[in-house]
Amino acid sequence: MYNIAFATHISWQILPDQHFGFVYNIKEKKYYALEDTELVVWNIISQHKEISLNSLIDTVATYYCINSEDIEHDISEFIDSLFEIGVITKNGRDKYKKSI
Amino acid sequence: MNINELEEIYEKNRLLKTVTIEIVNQCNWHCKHCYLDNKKVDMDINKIYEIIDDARKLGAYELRLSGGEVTTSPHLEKIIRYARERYMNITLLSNMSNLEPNVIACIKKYGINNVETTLFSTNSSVHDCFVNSPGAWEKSIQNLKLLKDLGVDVLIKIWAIKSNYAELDNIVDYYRTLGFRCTINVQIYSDIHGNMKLPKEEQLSFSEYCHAVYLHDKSTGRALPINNPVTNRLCPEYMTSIYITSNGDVIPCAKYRESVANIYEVSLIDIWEKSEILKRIQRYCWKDCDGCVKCDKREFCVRCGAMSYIKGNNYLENCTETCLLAEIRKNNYIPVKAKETY
Repeated sequence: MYNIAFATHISWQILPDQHFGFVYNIKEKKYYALEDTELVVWNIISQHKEISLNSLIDTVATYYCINSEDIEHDISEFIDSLFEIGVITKNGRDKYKKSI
Repeated sequence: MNINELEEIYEKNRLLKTVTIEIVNQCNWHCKHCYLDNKKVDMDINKIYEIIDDARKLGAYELRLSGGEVTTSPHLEKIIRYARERYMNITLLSNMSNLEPNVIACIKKYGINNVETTLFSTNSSVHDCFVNSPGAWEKSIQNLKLLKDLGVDVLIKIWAIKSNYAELDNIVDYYRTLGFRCTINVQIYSDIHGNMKLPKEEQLSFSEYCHAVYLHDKSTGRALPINNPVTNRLCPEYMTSIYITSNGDVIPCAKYRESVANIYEVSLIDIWEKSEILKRIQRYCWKDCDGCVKCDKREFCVRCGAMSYIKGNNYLENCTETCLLAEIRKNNYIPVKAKETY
């Protein structure tokens, strides 16, 4: 288990009234769209300086009124993909292997 | 997703994407063509924070810090920290000759990746003479190299003037070899009263100007002819960006200095959502310009309404300089040579 936080080299925005957001990896100059559940997850992370994977899963489950176990795999996978594109850190380390 | 898709969403929904703040209006250089006023006006730091907060609520994620020279601001570090903590992507517009260690550390810590700067030559004495600041070129280059080593993307803009004309053909290659992006610019703007500040002895002749336009298009990779249907907006950037001067005037862009409102009197949110002047400016299309609708040079024209405004106080009027640029592009050599990029 690990803690999740936003990486240093990102910019992001959730567009007003558009139900759409995006994250921009400043280092790699790449944009990634965020929609539906991705947006919910991103919003939850944004409300914390750092959040554990378990807390994140529980908060998402509460938001959708479902069991944590039902979404554990999907959320973990999504977090892994965010880590791979360099926009979040796990336990203070980003994909560039840099401690922040 | 790519930037074009994102820009389409912003433009379609009239969302603010980019805000430029002139945090100071003073500079440590004294360039011969500078249009800034001499009276020192720094923007209040709390007002800057407020603008950043409002810009975020309106959808913005890009913040351009401009001046004057931004590194002369005692608050630069605080502003960077505040904006980056709110995940704004910052571009510093700076001559980079005055980079203190705390700002370098700040750039590194907060992941600033974009710097735009202006140089006038590859020759230090030519540059220093034009900016009237001994040692300026050396300091800028030293700092730009430092930034490059930190992974910062540096864009060097070269203004075509008489002093650098002889080296203009090679200047872009020179800076690109050093690892910088580099473009040549040709339009040196008048001040807000329409007075051209560039001394006559620095102004290019017509044939030199034509060649500089060619080099500009080549360095920016501009593709010609341009698809310019009359229903296109004159300046799509106005739909998604705003510029705020150090005295608080909110204007469409750095060149088009028609004040929409003052940020010390009206909030950015109210200006963006309610200003009829701003909405009018944003809506202007080619078809609104009588002189342009039937013009056979339109597909070679990168019309800048700000130029018309500066020259004649009317955004929609024809501007001799803009028409001349289109004429040069159409009649001379650009349609063929523009495809040849660096």
